[in-house]
Amino acid sequence: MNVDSILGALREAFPAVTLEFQPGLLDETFVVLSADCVHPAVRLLIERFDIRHLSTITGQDRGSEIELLYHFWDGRGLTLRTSLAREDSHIATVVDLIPGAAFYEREVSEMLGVTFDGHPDPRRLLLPEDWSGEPPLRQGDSAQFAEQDVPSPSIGTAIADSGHVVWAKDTGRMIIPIGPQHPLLKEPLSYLLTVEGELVTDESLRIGYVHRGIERLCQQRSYVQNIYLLERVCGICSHIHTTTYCQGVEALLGLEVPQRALHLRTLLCELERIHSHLLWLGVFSENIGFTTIFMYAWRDREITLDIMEELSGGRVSHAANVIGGVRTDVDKEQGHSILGRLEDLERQIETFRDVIRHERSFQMRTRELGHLSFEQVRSHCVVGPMARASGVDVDLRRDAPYAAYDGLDLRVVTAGGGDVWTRTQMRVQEIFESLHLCRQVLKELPGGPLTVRAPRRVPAGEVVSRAEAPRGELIYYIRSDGSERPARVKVRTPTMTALITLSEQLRGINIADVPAVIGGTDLCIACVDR
Amino acid sequence: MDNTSRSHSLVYLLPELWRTLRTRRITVRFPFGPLELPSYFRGRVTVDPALCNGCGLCVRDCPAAALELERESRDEFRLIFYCDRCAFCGQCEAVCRTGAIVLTNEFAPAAADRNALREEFSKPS
Ligand code: SF4
Ligand code: SF4
Repeated sequence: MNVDSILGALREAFPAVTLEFQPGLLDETFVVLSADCVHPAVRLLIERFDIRHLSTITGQDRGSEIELLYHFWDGRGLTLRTSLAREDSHIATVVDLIPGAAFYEREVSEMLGVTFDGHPDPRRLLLPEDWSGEPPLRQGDSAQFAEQDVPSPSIGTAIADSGHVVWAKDTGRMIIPIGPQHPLLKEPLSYLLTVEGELVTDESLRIGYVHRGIERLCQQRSYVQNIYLLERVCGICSHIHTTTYCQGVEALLGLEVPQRALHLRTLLCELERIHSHLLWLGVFSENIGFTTIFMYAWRDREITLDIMEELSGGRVSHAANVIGGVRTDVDKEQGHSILGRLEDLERQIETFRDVIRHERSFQMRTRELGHLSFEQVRSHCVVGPMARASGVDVDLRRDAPYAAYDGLDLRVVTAGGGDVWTRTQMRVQEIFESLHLCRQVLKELPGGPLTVRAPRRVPAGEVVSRAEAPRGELIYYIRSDGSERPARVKVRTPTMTALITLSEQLRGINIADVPAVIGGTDLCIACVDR
Repeated sequence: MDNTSRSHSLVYLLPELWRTLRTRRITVRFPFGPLELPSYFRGRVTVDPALCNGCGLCVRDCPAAALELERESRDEFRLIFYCDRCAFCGQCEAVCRTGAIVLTNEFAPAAADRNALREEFSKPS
């Protein structure tokens, strides 16, 4: 991304308005423009510069106005910043340009009471349908919202109102509600499948059953306390959340984190990726009825969990990161023992790879299923393995190195198939790459201190922090007002981008293949809900 | 990645079966037998009142409000620990400068009444 030419083009396109450019921390550029310029600016970014990846939209209450931040990414970050009036805040939707923005806008809309004009599906996303009153992230406007508490229709009523029938005998059309309790995964998610005969013709999704209000809670806690809160966003990849958060806060503080700490962070990140991919392999195999692999994958996942527990004291909540470093260490002997165990693990994963590659029933259940094209992935802003399986060569560990990735030999696995089969093979291949990274870190662990002292007060400023979680790009936006508590913490987890593609993947497939598609997408619902 | 063959996965699973059959049982008989825990485990919090100087750093940083400091005078104070709220994060141990507060290996402090999980550590005068 050539920032200068983008800024030049924006200036040229909007000669009448004053644009302001602010270079930010961690290679982010902020562009301030007025609300009516956002839609044309996004169009310009797409058409002139082919920048389509909208990481997320952050909304925040800045007192006198409501501020929206559109975080784009293409090799480096570009954020469009705009402000809306408090009363009757509205802005044109960008969903027509970027379909992947649909969920981002729905979230901003319910959390801050912003109307996105022209949004095709302005239902609630995370809040309950009967929520009324002031939007949770807005403060001091209860009067404005008290009168207009029109509860949004529930997913069931929405379908009923849309004229669909639950069961039409003549066409064989039927609507099947699935979830929220145990909808294939052990996490709450509900979807309505419209089927005609055996074919799925439509899908409608509802999340938010485990929304915990973490972003709002963050504003009430100190920077230190937030580490442990954010660790609990996700029960699978907790370490990457604290890593992304801590590196953001460290950038605000201008801290230079010791190399040893960065390497240990990386080690845990990669162990976590192995654990996450193995967990997924097990769950997915079970989804399609291959229980043997489920048992074996979960048994061998214990190897990584044991190592992580040994390093940090916790199997899932590692509490290993602190602002300014880590709280864990490995000595020579331990390093040796870990290397030995990783070798065992590698042998096991070779077995899994061979089994799922050669087992014919596995191929029959996954091939040509849930197909996402390169274009679909790009337009829906999909990240991580889901994107790489459709040929999009993106990995933040290589493209925007954080922690210790800069000095490590990393091969990014991509494939072109874009179906469930490709995703499966690719994720297993990624485990080998992670093992390779773990070995490098353990062999070349630099000496030195584990932490630097971090002040409790964080100077005023803002930062966009990104990292590659097991499921793809994780993004944090943190704004400090100079006090002991952050003024805003925004989290967008990778699964949110995968969820948007579910309806594309499900339409037109056989109902018996629905578990394979949903399983193959590797969803983590609790971290989308936050 | 596409070099799939028609061979059966059993070829690859049989050695796995053999390996599994040869492995000893790894399930432990807890709670009927002992469960060994390593020293790094983060379990129930305990305070050594003799070391604690009542600085309150642990109380300030605890993310779960599981610690309280009740102070009668400069030297007389009680540190109260609510195990039912604790998230076992270890921040208190990390922030304490005197080493007074540590996480033990005890991991099953279940009780029918949550008040039974309240513990007081007072400074001996
Ligand atoms: S371990 Fe964490 S939650 Fe528990 S008392 Fe200490 S600081 Fe609080
Ligand atoms: S336990 Fe440690 S941190 Fe807590 S009050 Fe006592 S001396 Fe301070």
